[in-house]
Amino acid sequence: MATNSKKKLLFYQHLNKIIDSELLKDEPDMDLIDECNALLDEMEQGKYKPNPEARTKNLQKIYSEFNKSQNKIIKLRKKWSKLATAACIIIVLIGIPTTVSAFTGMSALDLIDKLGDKILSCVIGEPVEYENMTFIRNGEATKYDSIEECVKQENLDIYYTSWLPEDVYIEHVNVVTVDGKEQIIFKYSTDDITFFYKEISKDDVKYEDSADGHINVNEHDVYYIEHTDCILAEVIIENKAYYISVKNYDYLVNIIEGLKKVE
Amino acid sequence: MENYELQAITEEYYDEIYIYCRRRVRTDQIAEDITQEVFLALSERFKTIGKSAVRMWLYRTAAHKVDDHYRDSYKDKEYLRDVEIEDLEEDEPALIYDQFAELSEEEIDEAVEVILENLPPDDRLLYHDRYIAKLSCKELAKKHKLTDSVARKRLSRLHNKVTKIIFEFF
Repeated sequence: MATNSKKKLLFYQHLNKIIDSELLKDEPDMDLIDECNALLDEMEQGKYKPNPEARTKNLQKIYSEFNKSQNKIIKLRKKWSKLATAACIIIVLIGIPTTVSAFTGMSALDLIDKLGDKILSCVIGEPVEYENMTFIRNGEATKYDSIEECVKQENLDIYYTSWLPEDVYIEHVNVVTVDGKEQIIFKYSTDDITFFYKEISKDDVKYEDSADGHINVNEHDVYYIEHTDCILAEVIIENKAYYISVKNYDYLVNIIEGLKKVE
Repeated sequence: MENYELQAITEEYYDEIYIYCRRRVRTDQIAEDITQEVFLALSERFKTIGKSAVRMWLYRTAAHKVDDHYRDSYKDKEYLRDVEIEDLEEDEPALIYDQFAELSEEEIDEAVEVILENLPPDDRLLYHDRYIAKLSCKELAKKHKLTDSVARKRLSRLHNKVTKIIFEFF
């Protein structure tokens, strides 16, 4: 038979367990949590309230960390604004399938960033020279019934996302070759999602070091940066980098979870 | 998110989350550290969390971090393994949180029984439905044929009675 003081501890445990079991539910009953908290407060009679001095000190510590991370975000946003611009140009650009012949080590993103207008204004079949690069706007396109078929027929050794939001579909898949390395851009029927991939080498800069956050989805490490209007993420699988820009975090997780490869 | 919004949220929920953690860990320092981690995690994720879900998110994150603490902290684990509930002081409730999480169901029932047998029959049923069957306030109102506001008033009265029993019998 438990003593009364032990019973008090066990009843205390009972209330804590109610709170924890609510937190495991999809939609916890926060009123029930509040009721249990109120009973626990009565039992403790203020024993566990934070010490005012320690509270002030700890809050200052937290606020100072907020400031540091805010500064980091501002810095990163500047860096990413270039990429975001490039991503926007990609969206427009891939509406007009383009073949790019590049003779420099410039990445497709830098290239598009610099040449968006020039590429968009060129005539089908006529090469456009820029510095030591040649661009040919390609008017031909092969139509496939599904992304699986496209990936299979074009022999693309890549992952693609099998999940898309309702009513969103892939309009084009554009393959660009830069320095003999493929970069593949998926154009969706919405601007809310951008998905492209490129082969990377060990010297390429990865977002790992400058990301706002990191998550692990289906054993894939995903590094992301929060931009004003979107989340930009990078996931590296089998030495290929997949870049995803999405409107919200749920889209990002669903896309990564839906990554598939044609065997 | 602007800093002032984050600070306002931190100010609003700091005590609540600290107390949640403190009830589950051995020292003030551990609770402070975990609380700090929770709010720093919020600063990284706030954009992806709707404002209405922030409080729930904070609680869930705190729960995960308390679990992480016990998983990582060998010292605490060893301490708790050696402790017997009989050795605990009345003012050490946090210590039983992890150690007796799965072992004390029957004893917990025994403690809850003290509350139940000292409540009037109607309140006993109300306690059972709310804290054991975990019916929501709406479900409770429907089952007991009450309006929502009357159900809430009865729960508030129940709270007072339970508190009285705790101080009288424990």
